[in-house]
Amino acid sequence: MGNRERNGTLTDGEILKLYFRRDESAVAETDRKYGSYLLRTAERFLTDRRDREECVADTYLGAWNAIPPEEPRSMKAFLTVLLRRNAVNRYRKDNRKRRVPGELLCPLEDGEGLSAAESAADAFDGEQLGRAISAFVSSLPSRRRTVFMCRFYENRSIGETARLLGCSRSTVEKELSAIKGGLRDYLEKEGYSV
Amino acid sequence: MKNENWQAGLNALDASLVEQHLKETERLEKRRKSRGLRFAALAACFCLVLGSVLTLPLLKKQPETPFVDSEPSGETSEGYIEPPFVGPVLLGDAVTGTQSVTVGRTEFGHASELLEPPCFQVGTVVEARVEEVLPDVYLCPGRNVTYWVAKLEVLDVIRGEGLPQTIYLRFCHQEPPCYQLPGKNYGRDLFDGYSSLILSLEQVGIENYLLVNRDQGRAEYFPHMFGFYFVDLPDYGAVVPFAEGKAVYDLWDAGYGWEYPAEEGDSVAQVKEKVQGMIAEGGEKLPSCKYFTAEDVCASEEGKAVLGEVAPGQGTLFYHTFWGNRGVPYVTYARYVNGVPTGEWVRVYPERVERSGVWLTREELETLPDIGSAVATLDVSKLAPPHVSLLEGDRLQGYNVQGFYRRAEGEFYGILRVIWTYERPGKGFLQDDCYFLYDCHGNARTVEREELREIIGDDGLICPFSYDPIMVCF
Repeated sequence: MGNRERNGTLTDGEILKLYFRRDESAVAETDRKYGSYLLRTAERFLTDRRDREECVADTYLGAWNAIPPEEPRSMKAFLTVLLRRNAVNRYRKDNRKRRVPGELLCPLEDGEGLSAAESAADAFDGEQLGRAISAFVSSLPSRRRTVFMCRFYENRSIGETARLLGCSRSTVEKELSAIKGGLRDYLEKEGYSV
Repeated sequence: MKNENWQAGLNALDASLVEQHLKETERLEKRRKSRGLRFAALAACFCLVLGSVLTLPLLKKQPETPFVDSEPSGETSEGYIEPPFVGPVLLGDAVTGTQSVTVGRTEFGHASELLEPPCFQVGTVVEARVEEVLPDVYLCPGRNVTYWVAKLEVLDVIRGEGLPQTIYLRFCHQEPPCYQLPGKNYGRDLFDGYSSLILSLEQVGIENYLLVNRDQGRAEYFPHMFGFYFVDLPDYGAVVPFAEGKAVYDLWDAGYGWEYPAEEGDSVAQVKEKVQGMIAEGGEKLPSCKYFTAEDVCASEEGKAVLGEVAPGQGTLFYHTFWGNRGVPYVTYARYVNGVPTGEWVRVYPERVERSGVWLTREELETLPDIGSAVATLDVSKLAPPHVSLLEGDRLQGYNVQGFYRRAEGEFYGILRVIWTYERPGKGFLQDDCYFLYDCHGNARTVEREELREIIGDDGLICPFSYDPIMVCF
């Protein structure tokens, strides 16, 4: 098979070609290249191993259904986005099973703010809100942006984020505090009730 | 903002941001690894030099306990449990009605958590019929206890004045073992088949309850909520069930309360007569059982002003209990944020008003760490007790997580306390605890009892038990 990287996996371009050809080996190649990364990422959202595996499988199915027409520029980013959505949905589903009321879970909290079902209306709100959050995150200095993405998007722990950035936990906590204050102000100015 | 919207917003984040972030994390990972390799080489040399010096004392003195023996989300390291992340409280307006409370965000509370729960051993006695047990499970957010709620029609008030015809009775659906005693669970069908009950209500007066309907995910308000207990002696109980008008023995279970006699097969009239006899014996020693309302107690100008202060829609909710100790009724309003008491309370007597001396400004409320959410979501099974050495065979009896707010030297703190209880078969029990301290500036850390005592003073929330396995055999 075509261009392979040093570790024997296909390049993103080659994997994409398989998807476009509707070649089912596309999923196997995706798994070979990104499987362990996706499982690791899912672990930040889901504690149950079986849930994580199913979530990754859902991500592959999502990619299979979306490509084509989607032609992602970065396969890793594309899969990450799909995985996060699946992980959040699965988390919510688990919460519903356990009947944890939404009121108990607080927004703007890492990994805890995941609750009720997502409706079409929510999805529309989500798109708008996503644009607002994106604008806010883009305006952040580089390190703060990384803290935001690690903590809120990837659900990494404070310790893990600190280790990645090579700084102390308290530094990350201070950054988070500043980010949340700024985000709250920003969203309120944008007309959101936070 | 709702959680689902926040998460939907994150899910819709610009893909280029995600891409950029993944590249940045890859770069940081590589940098960390190369730094780690350089450090490892240096460390290896250093260890060779110091190894012999350090090894001997370590062999002589083994650490007494591994502080953490599991890895919760990769967040722990030896000797330290990282506090769960807690954001600021998000305040919202609340609207109450006669049957329900709509809480815009995440505020609810539980009246029995108040400073002085109005709990009487001897109180109102009624004969009532269970109309229905509500289908949903209710949650007390301050404690990890769930309830069934039964709607009762009062058929006869044997002792007490002015009771409403409909009252609500809570009983345990699931109570995990607390740190002292194992709990009890009951089914929704507990009262099936009984024609009526004579029961001693745990509280006199009224207690307004706000419980979280766990199944529907909303807060609900019960204007006349009582609790009651069972007594383990069937012929001397606090609740007497009747099947087809005859007392039966099959309901009793462990508990306590006002105990009164009944024999199997007694009619309703016979039990009433026995209870009346006990009341006559109690005479003047028995406290008053008059039913009263907030408006009755807060009739003075000052009282009316308090009603305005604690009215819903002020960004937070106050929960109130009534008490009629020795015939003087009073009502206490206390603020709870996500089920956690802030220490603010105001007590209204017909003639005067007392205050706790703590009153938060709106600004302070907005910066409070959200301990309530942490209490509700903390998974203690991922933490290990930090101070006790567990032996093989030790069995976890249960754990207790509670949140508190305290003001000390002008600073407000949120404190999360975790208590573990283990049974050591054949020996007794041992306990451990840990405390997470949150300030209003977004900082959090784990503190030991002594340090906490230095910060907030000698406070009742700091557990008095010893970490040593002092065994209490039952």
